Amino acid sequence: MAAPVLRCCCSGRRWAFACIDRGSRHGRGAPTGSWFCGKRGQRSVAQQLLSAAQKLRKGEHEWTAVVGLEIHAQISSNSKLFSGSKVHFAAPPNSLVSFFDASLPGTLPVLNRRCVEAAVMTGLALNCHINKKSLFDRKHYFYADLPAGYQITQQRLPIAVNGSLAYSICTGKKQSQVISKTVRIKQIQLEQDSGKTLHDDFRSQTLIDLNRAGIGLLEVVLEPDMSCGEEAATAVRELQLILQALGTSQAIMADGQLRVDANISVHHPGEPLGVRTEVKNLNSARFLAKAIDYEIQRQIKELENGGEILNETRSFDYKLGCTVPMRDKEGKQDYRFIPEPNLPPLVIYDSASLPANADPQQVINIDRIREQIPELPSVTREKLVQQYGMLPEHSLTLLNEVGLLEFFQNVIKETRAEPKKVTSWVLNTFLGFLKQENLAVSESPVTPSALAELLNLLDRKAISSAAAKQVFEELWRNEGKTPAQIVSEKQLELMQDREALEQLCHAVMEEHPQVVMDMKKGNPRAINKLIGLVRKATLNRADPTAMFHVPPPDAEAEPVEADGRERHTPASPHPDPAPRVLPPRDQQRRP
Amino acid sequence: MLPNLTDVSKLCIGIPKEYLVPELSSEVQSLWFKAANLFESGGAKVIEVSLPHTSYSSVCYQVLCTSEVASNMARFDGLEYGHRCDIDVSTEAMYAATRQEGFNDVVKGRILAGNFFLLKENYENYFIKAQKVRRLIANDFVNVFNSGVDVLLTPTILSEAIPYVEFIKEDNRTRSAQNDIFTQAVNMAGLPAVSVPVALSEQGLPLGLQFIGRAFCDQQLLTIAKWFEKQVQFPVIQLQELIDDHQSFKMKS
Repeated sequence: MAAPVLRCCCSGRRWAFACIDRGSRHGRGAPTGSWFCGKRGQRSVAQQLLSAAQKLRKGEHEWTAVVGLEIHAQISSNSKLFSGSKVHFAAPPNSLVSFFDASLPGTLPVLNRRCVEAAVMTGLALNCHINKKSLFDRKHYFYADLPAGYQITQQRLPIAVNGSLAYSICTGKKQSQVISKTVRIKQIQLEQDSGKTLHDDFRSQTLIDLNRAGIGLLEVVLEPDMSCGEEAATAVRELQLILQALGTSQAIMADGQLRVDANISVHHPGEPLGVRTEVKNLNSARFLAKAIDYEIQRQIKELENGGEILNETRSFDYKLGCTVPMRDKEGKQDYRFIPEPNLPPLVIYDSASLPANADPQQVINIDRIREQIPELPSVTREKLVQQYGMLPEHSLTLLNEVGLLEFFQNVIKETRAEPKKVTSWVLNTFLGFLKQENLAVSESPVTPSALAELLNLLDRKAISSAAAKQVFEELWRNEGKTPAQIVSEKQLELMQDREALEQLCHAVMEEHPQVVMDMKKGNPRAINKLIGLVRKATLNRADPTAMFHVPPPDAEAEPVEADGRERHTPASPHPDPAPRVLPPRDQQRRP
Repeated sequence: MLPNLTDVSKLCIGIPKEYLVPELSSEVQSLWFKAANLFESGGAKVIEVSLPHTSYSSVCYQVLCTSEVASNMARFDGLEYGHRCDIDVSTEAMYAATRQEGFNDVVKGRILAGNFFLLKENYENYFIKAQKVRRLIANDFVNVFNSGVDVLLTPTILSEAIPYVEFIKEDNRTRSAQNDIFTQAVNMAGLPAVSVPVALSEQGLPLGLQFIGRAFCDQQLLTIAKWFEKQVQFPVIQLQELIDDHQSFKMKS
């Protein structure tokens, strides 16, 4: 009866909070205490308690969560939004500050054309309606890193509205089910970034760096169409890829170029939305997902215990893994918006509305910007699927890992191996090794050329898959050897002498008559055992595929081929799975 | 250089009837009418016009001006420049004391009023309404200029120039309510205007009149003002003569 409404997207990995039943009356019996604020190990305990609590409350209402996001992306531009100061990450403090950035009296804003173009392009890529007229407003609050006492933003009439962002989520046990989702985009507005405040607790002083003050930001407001941390994190990742593809923002979260605030509430389906909290301070996709999921649970627990949710701003403490109220955001802020008197309305054109005598340097033409939009990630993925017969989830992974797509394409360029094989090696072996050592693609000890050469060796059956794995491991150690050198040093070449292989096979069969009998009785394991024995005798240099071509001593039955497909998983203890005795018809190849 | 106007016969001069207020000094009033006659005798058409929303300009200005003041003064927080108090218990305490010490009562009053008008619950009723009234005031001018008027001729202030001792007697608000009425509306409408000294009062203090032009027709406005300035021959203090006198005096001694 209580259908799982609050479904986590990757129920396999993450602890599930699907259908957590309401139980305010029984709530006293519910587990209390800070479940998730502690160490990681406590999670499983919490999970057990949760599922126990669920059983007690069968038949009551479940909760559903509503998540909306506000994303700030720093515009990739040479100069700031309203001043000529350079934009540069990690410059010496206060070295990139014009009189305007320090808000000296009498200075006036001059709008940066590049920032407007970036906003229009981003809006178009996110299917927004571009407002040909937009307005700037001042948003007032006192903060040490906001020298003017206000931020120039677009509160009333932003440059782009009513868009959408499509993203795909992998679910299922093996993350192999791809579900497409869409989140609506309320608006995109241009605004100034603030400076940075550094608190020196030791000397009890506050230091201000205005290098960031006045850099152009795109604030992208996503409607509350998401329902868990994973969805939010995936939507943000897709937005990040789009911004990077467009070049409108470098969107590196760790550098603060992409910052996310989440609005979260929970309610019972069919009832009005609950009171929402805002969680700030989310500077990585992982913390974003964690913070949202934590906050959803906190709200449910609070309500079930008869408490109420306050409309407050909280920050995520990544060390404790929980959200805490922000002290300096206590009390209701009134931003006292006022139209920015120093900036006229921003008017942009399309080809139809462009005045005939307009100076191209002085106007922005939406249609021209539309023509300049590069290939978007969704199209890139579609192409990968079509061109290489890749599975959609594989195309997702290729784009999600920074630099992985480029690595893949470089390998493809240099190898004769089939794209499917390349995909498998890049996504399983290569990515597996990277993940194990927590390395970025750019930090990989194995170059695309080396992998391509290795796959060539494999492709022309110079080595077995098992040997290829061994070579890869050697390559990973990065001792400057080529795959060919490693193969010859370690004597990993496959036995090419067919007659010798036949003799060896026959000898093994003669030595193990019982196994041969089992095989003839149709025990599929028996042939694997024989193959294993031969490989052992040859130090893994016998080609298992070739062994199928060895006619049995009585030479009556036709030899059976193995299917040429192999799966590579670094985690598997037997990287070279035993060939199937009877492959499906369509996968058979005639010699 | 501005062109020299020789013929005013093709001009149409508007005299806004709402500017003839009881508080207007008789000296200024007679000067104003004299000026109108001067144009008329030069062949210009002089007509009475109406700017019906003039009386709302003062209260409208109070809302819009104080709101902008509240916003513009926000930057004086003692951090980057200007006065900073000695209090350093917290940034907020520093802001408060700095602004308390640094601003006089007029500025503080404007900041408080402006922030009040900009509060979320007041914004519609005050700021937006004031903007609408400002639009009506601006439209008054548009209508007058559309009816064929080239420039408006008005007093600049109610009386002769006010001596400093008198000026500081009144508080700022009363002062502007009294004396800004002829200059306020034009500024809110965003139009060009120029005040031309015309004559000396019985007290020997300058009396001026104002011309208001169409938007972006500043040159036409100044050309007319220049013609008028030539006709009235205001007894300008000849600074160069004073300097020369001073130098010859120095040389003698």
